[in-house]
Amino acid sequence: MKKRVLVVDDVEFNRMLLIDMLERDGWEAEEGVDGKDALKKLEGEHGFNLVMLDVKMPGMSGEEVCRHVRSDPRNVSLPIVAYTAHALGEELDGLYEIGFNAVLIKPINMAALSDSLIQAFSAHSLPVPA
Amino acid sequence: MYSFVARLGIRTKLILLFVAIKVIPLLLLALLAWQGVFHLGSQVSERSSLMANSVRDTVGQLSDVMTKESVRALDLKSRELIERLTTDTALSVAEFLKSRDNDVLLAAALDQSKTEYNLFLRHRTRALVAQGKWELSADGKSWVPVNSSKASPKIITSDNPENKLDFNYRPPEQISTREEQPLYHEITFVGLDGQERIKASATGLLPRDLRNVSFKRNTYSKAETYFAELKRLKPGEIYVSDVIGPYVRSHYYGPVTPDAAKQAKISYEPQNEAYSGKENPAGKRFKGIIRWATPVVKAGKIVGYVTLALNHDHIMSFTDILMPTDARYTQIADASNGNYAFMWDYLDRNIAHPRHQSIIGFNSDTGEYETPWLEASLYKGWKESGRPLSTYLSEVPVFDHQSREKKPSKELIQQGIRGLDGRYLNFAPQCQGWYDLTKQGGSGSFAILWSGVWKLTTAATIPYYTGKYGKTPRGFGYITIGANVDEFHKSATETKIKLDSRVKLYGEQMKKTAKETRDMISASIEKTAWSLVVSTTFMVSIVIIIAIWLANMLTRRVTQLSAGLREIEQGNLTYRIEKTSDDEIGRLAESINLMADSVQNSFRQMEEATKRAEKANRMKSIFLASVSHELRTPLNGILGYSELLKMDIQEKKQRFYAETIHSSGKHLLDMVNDLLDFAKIEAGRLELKPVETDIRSLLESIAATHRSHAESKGLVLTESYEGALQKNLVCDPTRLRQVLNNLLNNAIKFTSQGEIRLQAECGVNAVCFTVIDSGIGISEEQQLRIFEKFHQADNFLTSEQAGTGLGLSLARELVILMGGTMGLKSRLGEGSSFFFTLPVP
Repeated sequence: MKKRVLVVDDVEFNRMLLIDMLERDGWEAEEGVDGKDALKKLEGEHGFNLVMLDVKMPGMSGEEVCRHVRSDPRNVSLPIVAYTAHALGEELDGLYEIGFNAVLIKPINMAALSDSLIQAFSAHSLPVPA
Repeated sequence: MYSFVARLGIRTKLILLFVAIKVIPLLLLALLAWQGVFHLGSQVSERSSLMANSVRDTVGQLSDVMTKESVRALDLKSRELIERLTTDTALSVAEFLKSRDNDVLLAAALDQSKTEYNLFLRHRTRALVAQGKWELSADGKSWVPVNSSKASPKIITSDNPENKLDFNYRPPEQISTREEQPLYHEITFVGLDGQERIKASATGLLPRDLRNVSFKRNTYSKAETYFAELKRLKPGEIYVSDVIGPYVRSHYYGPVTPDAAKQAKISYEPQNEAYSGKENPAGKRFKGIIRWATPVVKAGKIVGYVTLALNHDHIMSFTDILMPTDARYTQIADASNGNYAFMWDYLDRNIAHPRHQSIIGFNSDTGEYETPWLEASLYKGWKESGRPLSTYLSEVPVFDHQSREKKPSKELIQQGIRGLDGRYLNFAPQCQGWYDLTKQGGSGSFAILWSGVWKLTTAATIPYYTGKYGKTPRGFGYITIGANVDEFHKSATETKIKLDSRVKLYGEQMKKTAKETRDMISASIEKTAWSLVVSTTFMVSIVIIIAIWLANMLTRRVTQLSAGLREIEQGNLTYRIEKTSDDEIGRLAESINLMADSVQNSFRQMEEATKRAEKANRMKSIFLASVSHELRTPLNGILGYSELLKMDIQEKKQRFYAETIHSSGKHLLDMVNDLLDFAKIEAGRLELKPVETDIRSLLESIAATHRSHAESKGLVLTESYEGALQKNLVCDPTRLRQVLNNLLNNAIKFTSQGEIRLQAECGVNAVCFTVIDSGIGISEEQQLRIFEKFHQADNFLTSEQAGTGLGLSLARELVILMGGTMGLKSRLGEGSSFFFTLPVP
């Protein structure tokens, strides 16, 4: 089973780090530089089975992107992980309601990334692709 | 009461206050005024009544006193007058008798011849009142004069004004009809042998033949005993006899009328009954004489005696005509009205009386005194003694307990015998009085109740002391006059009656006036009461209206103040109270407004401060969030890439570098996290999320997390649960885990050998968590400061036990935030025991 992930972050090194980590786990990663770019890449039959979405981005925020993505019925069961530097708990709660399936708090590490993927896939009753 | 008053509004209180201050005194004043008026009214009423009664009584008493005084004065005056009349009459009688002495002496000087004697008699006359002719009245109940022509006499008044006052004219006396009557019945010359030698007669009463008077049977009424006395006379001496005449009976006591005769069951023969003045003018008169005698002396020798027989009518005339009333005189004596005069001799025998049956006389058959009118027991005693009357009477006491209570003898009345001898008239107490008045030759009076009438009775000695009459001071005898006392003070009594009627009238008038006064006062009181009620009600109403108005005015302003305050209190800080006056309330309003100004100011400042604080807080949060975000972003790179480097680099030295970068980043991240938590706690932004938590599995999970780390240091990590640990405790598991992680991290960090124990004990109210290590322990000095921030921050980069220095402090803050407490027990070199409690809700 293919492991295709879209990593959206406006900061390049953050994007690169996450992609590095995911690729070590066998994921085929594609980059999204901002919200609009992410939406463009997630239109139609995009082929991603995981989205890592930075919440705070200039222009279109991660929340908006998530809402748009979830508004497409084809993306209802797409695991989306919020990827944020905000560690204040109350701000994270709203993310699940918008449609995120897991929250990965920066700074990240391999273990936390793994946990978030497990959480995101299990939210849709899916196994994490090996 | 107090609470009741406290509950009343200020307006009601003010009104009540006004009412209490104004209305109550007003009512009290009205009450006082009413009481005063009522009291005054009743007083005046009572006084007027009292005054009326007093005046009436006084006038009545005055009238009584005046009348009494007048009566007394009149009585005294009358007494004086009647006593005077009595003594005057007695004197006249005495004078008259004295003249007779002269007559007899003159007669003794005459030649003893019939011619001389006749001549002597011819001019010895005296006028007697002619009583005229009387007949029984038509109704037969009284005697009335025949042809009583009563020409009303002309009243003379005074022409001279100076004489006009009390000019009292009295017409000629009605008794002026007088007839000259011989003074003497006869004059005799009696020889020494008692034989009458010469006799001249002027009337036919005495026998004209010459008799020997030494024999009693030859004398008048066979009763004269003078010849025996004559022989004892010396020349010039005079003998005067008692009154001598046959007794005339009467079966009547009062008017002699056919009715009276019928009542007494006797035949009506007035001419055979004694003359009784007006009661029986047709009756048989008492014909009496008094004989004077004196020796006739010739050549010094008594050759005989000359005697004069005085017609007793002349004696009687002195008293018969007397009327002790304003009539003064009467033509005919009248005993029936109680006003009459009597004459008594020196032995208290009656010798002149309107009723001739009362005059003591002789029994012409025996020549002895006829039985006098005896008191019943005396008569009975005499009859029982069987002795001659004169003997019997000489042995009984005279004036024996005379009293009205005693009764006269009925037997004698039946016989028609009523001759009055005062000494034995024991049922007539006045006899003794007369005796007492005259026994020394004097006169006087006393009052006596007789026949149911108070009478004044007088007595005056007739001072004639010739012959045997000179033996006692009583002389010839005495005159008594009886008068109805009422007559004296008739005028006073009449005045009294008039006064009484006047007093009665006056009393009634006073009563009427008093009643009118009382009515007037009552009406006045009623009117006053009405005025009081009306004016009081009016004033009370005005006071109440004023009270309500004032209370309204005052409370309106107070209410305005109160409403304004409430408005301000409810948050309308811009509200200002209108200042309507310059008084205290106005100033109060001003003060409230000033207060509102300052409150508003304060609030504004406070709001600004709050806004500033909120803004600062917001800024702080934003700052924290920013710091967190901005720190995390570079840390993300550092930690992420150093972790990847650690994985990729095999060369030992380079690998160490990567590891150091990673651990430093990690440390920095921990610090950032702890700082964030602190900041959140201090900003009050750390919110607990209590959920039902399975403590046992939570503890197991935590222990499991730390076990590999502990075991890597050769330590044993155990967990234990004691007490009735509840399966589920409502708490924030994230924060509980954070606290326990911190404690376990520290424990593992500071322990090089031995064991780490995680314990949980459940009590009733709290759960106690304890982390025990066998580490280096904490000195007492350090124990005091171990919960301070950055306590260990001095060498965390070099020390193996490096930490942020915020962990314990944060853990304790979190426990406190969860409602618990945290503490420790430790001894240097022996390990430490950190414990904290969480409340069981």
